[in-house]
Amino acid sequence: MASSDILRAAPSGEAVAPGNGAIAPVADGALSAFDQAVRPQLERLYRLAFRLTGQRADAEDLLQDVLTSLFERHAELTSIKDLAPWLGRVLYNRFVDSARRLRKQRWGDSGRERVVLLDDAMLDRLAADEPGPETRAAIQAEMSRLQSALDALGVEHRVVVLLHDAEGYSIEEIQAVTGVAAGTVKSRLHRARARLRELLAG
Amino acid sequence: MGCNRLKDCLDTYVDGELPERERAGLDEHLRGCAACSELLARERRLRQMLNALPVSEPSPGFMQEITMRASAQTSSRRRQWMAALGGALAAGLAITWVALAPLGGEREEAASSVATVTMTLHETRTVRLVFGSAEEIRDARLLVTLPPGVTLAGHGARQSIRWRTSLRPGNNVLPLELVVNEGTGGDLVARLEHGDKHRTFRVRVAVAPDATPRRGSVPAIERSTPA
Repeated sequence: MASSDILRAAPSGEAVAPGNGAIAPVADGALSAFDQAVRPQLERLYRLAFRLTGQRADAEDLLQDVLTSLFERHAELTSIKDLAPWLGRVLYNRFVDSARRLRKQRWGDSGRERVVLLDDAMLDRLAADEPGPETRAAIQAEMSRLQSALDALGVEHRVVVLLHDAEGYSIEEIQAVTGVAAGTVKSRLHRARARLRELLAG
Repeated sequence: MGCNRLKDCLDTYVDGELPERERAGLDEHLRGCAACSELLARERRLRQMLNALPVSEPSPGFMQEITMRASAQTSSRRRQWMAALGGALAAGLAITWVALAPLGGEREEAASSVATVTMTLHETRTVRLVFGSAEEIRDARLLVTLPPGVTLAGHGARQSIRWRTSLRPGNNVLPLELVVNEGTGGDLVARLEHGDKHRTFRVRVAVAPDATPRRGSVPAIERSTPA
């Protein structure tokens, strides 16, 4: 018992949730208030970050950066009327800034074998019949080709088609997050789909 | 209604937003045009695929810890933490927080600068320290020094116990089954060392005078070897 490794990761949600009194010694009202304000938005924001960056590590970094920068201003958050689009805009702007700074041109894990996570829900949606191993492999390959095609789109077209067709954002919601006029969003969407069809047909 | 018309209207057609007459005209065209039917099928498939495009799950614990990390990384909060951690702090050991986990329904008193656990004479209780690490730390050493009169179950009368351990990113729990044998308590000191860096955390163990021996109500955490 004494000499073996005894530290292990706690199951998430256990020890250090805000409001548990777990964080000694500072009573953490600010953290609690901040968490309350943003937590309902977190899943949507994470998905947005993932669509923008294309992969988990970058999405987590982006989301963490945004929240860290917002913590100082947590008192302001309660006075914002529509927190969801506002947070989305903040995240999008930070994405654009960092992409510009890093000259990041590639989306997701380009250059490496793309890992496609096939789950039952996805198979249900894409497989006409009961999916056997051949169908799984075929769908996996198809999804991989789609991701490569998305990679080949310019970032502006990719963002619009992902937010609209993958995330279900309306034109207005995309306008709110990106600041791009609705008409431009629509034409980018049409162009993106046409380009994807070209790339996938070839 | 020709092939060009479909190409222009494809998106609107697929979205079901074409006016009735135009849609009927295109349906008619599609019945006789293989190329356009093919195009329509491809567009529908593309939409299906986009709709099913997966999002990777966040890393374990990421969403739970994200707001806490946001607060810990803020500079004024970092100063508070450094004051709370006590001891000599070397820059760079990536422990972002150390906390005393709550036990069941009991709240621990947090005195102004030191976490406190109140126990009674002869009580046994598992206290859990949580080390929040920003990154993986291999081959760290942990030294726990017990206050007078308090021992660690299974470690005889030893006043200090040393472990080698590794920490994963996120929460790392150290369960300590404390036994109050005698005395009025004192500070339990946990010191984590890695290379030439270290962090120290103190817990005040206050022993309340109580003639009735009580057993702790929290079951011991089972130990497992991390991967």
